[in-house]
Amino acid sequence: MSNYDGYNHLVNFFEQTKTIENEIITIDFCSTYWFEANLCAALGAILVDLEMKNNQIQLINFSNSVKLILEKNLFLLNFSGKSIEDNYATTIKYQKFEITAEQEFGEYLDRELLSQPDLPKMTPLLKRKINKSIYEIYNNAYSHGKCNNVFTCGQYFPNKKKLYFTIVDLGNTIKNNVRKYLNSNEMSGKDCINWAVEEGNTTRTGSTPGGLGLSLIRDFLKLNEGRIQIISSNGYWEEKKGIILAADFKSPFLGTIVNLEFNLNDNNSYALLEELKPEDYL
Amino acid sequence: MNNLVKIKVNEIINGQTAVSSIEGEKLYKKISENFQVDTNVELDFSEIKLIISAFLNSSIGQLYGVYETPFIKEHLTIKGMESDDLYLLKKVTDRAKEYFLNKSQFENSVNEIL
Repeated sequence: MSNYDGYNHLVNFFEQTKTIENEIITIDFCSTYWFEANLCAALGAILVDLEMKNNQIQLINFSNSVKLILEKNLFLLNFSGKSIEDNYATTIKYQKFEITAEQEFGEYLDRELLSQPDLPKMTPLLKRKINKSIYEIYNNAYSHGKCNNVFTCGQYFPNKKKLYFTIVDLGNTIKNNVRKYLNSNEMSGKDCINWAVEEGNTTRTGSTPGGLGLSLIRDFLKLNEGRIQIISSNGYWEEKKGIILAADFKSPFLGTIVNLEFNLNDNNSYALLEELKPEDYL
Repeated sequence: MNNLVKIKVNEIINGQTAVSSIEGEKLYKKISENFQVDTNVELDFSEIKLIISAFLNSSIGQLYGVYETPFIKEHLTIKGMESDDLYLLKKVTDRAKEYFLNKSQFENSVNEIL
């Protein structure tokens, strides 16, 4: 599940496998009765990393329900499995992108989210806000993670009218970036994330300012009554309805997972408090 | 009166989604080369469907590290931007002013120490 315990399982799996090279790795799902499909982004990132180390991956013993969902969202197709049609269109497909493939990523978002007829009707502004939030995270992976690929996946929960969308990179962690920037080797993983999500805080030092992307998403998700979860190195941080929950895992994930939970049953107008005059915005 | 160059943002970034800091950098260079010869710039966002802070940081926020705010206000006009994006632009420019102020104070402190 997309909660501390669920991510902890993935972090532990990463820790147990990260040094394996040139092996056949069999992953047995016999004790897995539920796998939230958006988490395929994180599992996929770990498995692709293992494949890059010349390992062969075998996934076995799925329960019917888990297998069904991982075939629908094309996850298994990427690991020697097959795919099946998602008739109810509740999955947002698992996909790996090169970090510079922004056009391809945009087409994917359009196909999977914005033009998806089976999702509930959303106001145009809500769609824009969701889209912007996802792009901000994608851009963070590029500018802060300095990674080569991002992995994405999502799931729509029709009963709850919630959409989960997860973006994962195996680049520089928030902990590494913040510790280096603040020259502080004492800060824990969760404290580093806590620092990074504050408006105005950025580890950038060059000619381009930053420090807004995550705070904009937080502002939107508070109004939307959604949730944001960030896992980076050994830090876990989440915010829902303004309440922050943060903790440290025992071992680190060598990258960053961001899960955004959007409430699609949202009719907020997101009206602006004041009309801006041209002289105000420059 | 200064010359005026009208720039359609969609033509610079070859698309309608302004979501990349790399594309923002292209726009920054275009604006900057006009500012250097004291030419006014009008940015037309009317064909742009989506803008994020990362794009505005690199295209417009970055200007505040080189030019004073009064110069930017005098030489730059924004056209065709949705009201929520204007609000985003204000956040970006406020943040940029703060960022470069802090940066120069930090550099001055370092120079004093050295």
